[in-house]
Formats: sequence, structure tokens, C-alpha cells
Amino acid sequence: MNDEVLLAARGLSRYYGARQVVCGVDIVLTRGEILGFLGQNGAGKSTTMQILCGALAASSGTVEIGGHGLTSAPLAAKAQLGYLPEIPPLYRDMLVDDYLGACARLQGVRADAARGAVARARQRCGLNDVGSRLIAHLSKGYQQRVGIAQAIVHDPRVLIFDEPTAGLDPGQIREVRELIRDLGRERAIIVSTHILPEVRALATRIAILHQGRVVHDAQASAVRRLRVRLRYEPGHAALAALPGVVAADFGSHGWLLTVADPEAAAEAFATHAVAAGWGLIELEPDYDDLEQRFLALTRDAGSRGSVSVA
Amino acid sequence: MSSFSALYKLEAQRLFRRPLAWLVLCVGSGLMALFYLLLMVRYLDQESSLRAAGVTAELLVRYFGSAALVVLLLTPLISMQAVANDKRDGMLRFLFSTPASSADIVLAKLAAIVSLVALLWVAIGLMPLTLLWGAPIDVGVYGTNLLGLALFMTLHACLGVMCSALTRQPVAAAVLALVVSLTLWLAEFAQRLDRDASLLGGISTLTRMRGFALGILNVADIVYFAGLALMCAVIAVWAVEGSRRYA
Repeated sequence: MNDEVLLAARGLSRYYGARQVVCGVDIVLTRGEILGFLGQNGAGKSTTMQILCGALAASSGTVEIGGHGLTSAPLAAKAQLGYLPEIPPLYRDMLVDDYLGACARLQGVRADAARGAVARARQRCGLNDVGSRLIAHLSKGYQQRVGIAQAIVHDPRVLIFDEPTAGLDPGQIREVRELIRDLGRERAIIVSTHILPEVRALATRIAILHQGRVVHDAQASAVRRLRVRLRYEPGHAALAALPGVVAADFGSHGWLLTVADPEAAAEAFATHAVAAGWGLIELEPDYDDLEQRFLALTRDAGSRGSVSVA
Repeated sequence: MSSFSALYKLEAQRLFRRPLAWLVLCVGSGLMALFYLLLMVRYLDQESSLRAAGVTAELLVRYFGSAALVVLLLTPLISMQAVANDKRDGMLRFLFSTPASSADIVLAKLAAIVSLVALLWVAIGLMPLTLLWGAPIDVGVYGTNLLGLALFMTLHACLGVMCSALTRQPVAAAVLALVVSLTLWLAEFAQRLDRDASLLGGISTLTRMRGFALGILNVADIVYFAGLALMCAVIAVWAVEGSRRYA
């Protein structure tokens, strides 16, 4: 991962009247990072993302994109940014190609290069078959893809996606995730979503926003636990003694093994369980960690409401 | 390509694809053709009594007077969606995230609308040239009428975009634009009722159009239309920028 900072937001705040909906948010993203942006409804995610892309002015704080200040050099900063809002920004009375071409030119792509840029974006988003169709006649999934295509058509270095897989079928979700992962290798990406598995699948870092504040910002830790169900119980001592297993706990859904290297431990455990005749019924990574963390950090939702300065 | 030209191309492309825009153009041209025909019939019927005033005064000037009224009524239908629709659909937020400034956004939309009404201007302007086959017209008066109509159209395009920038509802924008346009048009009648209210006469578009109709090129009239149009455009930019800062 490269340490080149592509997005730096410091001390972002935003008031709606006397109500403060974003309170001193700091976000720094380097090239190659995909930030999973989590939060309950009304936590301030969309407002924060709108501030980051210049669609909404911050009450205080600064945003730099690719080293250019969003307020001091907005044109240079915004040219390096692609943004997909929660509702894809589409002119439904336009053809897909015309719309993407217009977006490319609007984002500063030269007229002679726009055609190539549109073809690449269309290719990446699986829109080759619908280039000459009216956007209004496309399904919701295709409209979402057009929304993603407009965000990447000018090859920006920073991408902000608000609910990028909303309205897509499982196959399309998988394709979009692949696309985001692919884009994330050379760019900095923020993905806001309510779907925790999506964050697990995509993010290299996770930030949780609660009542306008970042209450958690850390690297997405790899799964460190395995959930195991066996027909014949070998006992705690036998499990804890297995290679790679740090600890073994018995819960309501079977054994929970804390391991150093999940992939190697899973393979070793399966081999051992079959050889020992333990009757292996289930072996899966335990994803509850993020969910529990999210719930613990946002548990008091509604009890405090938004921070008020009135 | 600059943000303005890219946005202008986008807006013009969208505007010229809308059936409403072509409908307005057709209705506007049709109405003017009807007025032209009625004025022609009236002139031919009463030629002996109207000959003294001449075809320019009795036909051309009246024709352009009707054109101003048609423009006043139809322009809000073209301009009402300019910003209001984008505000309502969230497209304005998207445009804010692009390198286009608020001024680029407003001016591009305005330029697209002016391009469309310019077609109506051309159609209105060409129609009376058919008189050249049968009667001499005062080319100077024709020219000032054309200029006056162009300024009047530009002002109403700016006014329409301003009203569209002040609301999320296109219909509300159209009604607001119509009310303001009619108020400016009818302000002269208030002066007629109260002779002391000369200011009202001064701000009336009807009063300001009279000079152009009579073939008088008054700098004050040109400054009036240009200044008012500029003021509307500035208010529209201010309203759009306000959506980014305070909405």
C-alpha cells in the first residue's frame, strides 16, 4: 500500500440551523485504501460525504483532494474526485452514451478523449449492451451501474460511493464489489453502506460514524475466529492444543476458536477433525466481531439525538 | 473543454430533446402566424384609412407588440425546469461535486434557454419580411423592433431561470415568473392611473419597449433590459450557491 495521501479532511463540522449533524470529523485516506463508512440512519454519513465532494459546504474544517484544497482550488480538487450519491445522479431523458460523454466533458476530459473514456467506463461497468438506450428505460440495476460509470468516467483518484450496491441483484452486487476492489488498488475509495458483509468484503479500513462523530477508525482486521460444530465433542483441552489455535470457547452455537492465521488454521482443523473422527458439521469464519463492535458503539442511538448548540 | 461549455452542451442537448420545448416553439410560431394573418387581413380591409399611417406602423409595430406578449406568456414554460428540477432530483448536488461553479451552472442553463428562444426570435423576425414582396417597410423600425424583442426575450429567460432557482417546484417557478413578468409589463398602467407614480412607468417593460417599437434606439432602454437581466442572473447564481452553502 502506498502512503500517498489522496484525501485529507480535518475538523469537518456542519450545522443545519442550530443542529450540528457533523462534529469534528477527520478522515485521511492514502492510495490503495478502501474505507468502509458505517453508521446508522441519520448518523451524518451522507452529509459528511457531500462535504467531502464539495456538494455541500462545511460549517468549519478543511478538505484536500490530491493535495488541492476544496475551497482554495475547487476545480483542481473536484477534477480528481468521482462521486456516486445514494440516488444515482441521472438525466433520465438522455441516452447512456450521451450522458456519460457529457459527464466526462464536465469533469474536464478533453473532447477527443471523451469517447475513449466513455468506452472504458462502459466496459468496466458492464454497460456495453445499453450504450444507445434511454436511461429512463433501464432497470434499477443498470441505472445504478450508469451512476457508477459517471463516477469513474474521468478516471479520478478519489472515489466516494454512497450505497453503491443498492438495488442490485446478487450477481450484480458481486460484480460491483469486484469493480470497487479493482479500482481501490490505485485509488482511495470511501464506501458508505448499511450492509456489514459488504464492508467486510471490501474495506481495508473501517470508520463508524455515530451522531456526527467518528467513534471508530481502524484497519479492518482480518477474521481471527472460527466457528466450529462437531458431532462428537473432543473436549476443550484437545481443541486448545491444536496447532494455530490460541483459545477455544464453547458457546450456544458450538465452539469458537481464536486463531493466529484463519486460513491455515481452518485447513489444519478440517484435516485433523476428519482424521480424528470428530464428525465435522460446520466450519466457518466468525464475522460477528464487526457487528458486535458496531452495535456496541452505536447502542445509545436515539438517547442523545443530534448535538445541539442552541 | 471548460465547465461552462460542457454544461451548456449538456443543457442544450436536454432542452432540445424535450417535447415541451418544441411544443412551445410551435405554439409561439403558430400564434405569431395567426396574429400576422389577422393584422394583414385588417390592413387589407381598411387599407384606404390605414394607408396614411403606413404598413410599418399599422402592421409591423403591432405585430412585434403581440410578439412581446407571446414571449412573456411562453418563456416561463421553457425556463421553469431549468434549476428547480435539478434541485428536486438531487442533480444540483451532483453538479456541485463537479468542477463547475454555481455561475457556470446558471449561465449554462441560461445560455441553453436563450438558444431555444432565439429560434422563436428568428421565426418571429422572418415572418414580416414577406411584406417586402408587396409593400415597403421601414428597415430601421424593423431593426429596432428586432433588437427590442431580443432584449425582451433575454430578460424573460433570465427572469425565468431566476424564479426556477428560487424554488424546487417547476410549476411554482413558472407561476412566479409569470406574475413578475406581468407586474413589470402592467406597471405602466399603474402610472396611467396615478400620474405621480412615474417610477412605475420607468420600470415597466411595456414603456421600455415603446421606444424600440417606434424605431427609437434609446441607450437608457438598452441599459434597462441588460441591467435587469444581469440582476436576475446574479440572483439566480446567488440562489444556487445558497443551496450549496445553506441547504
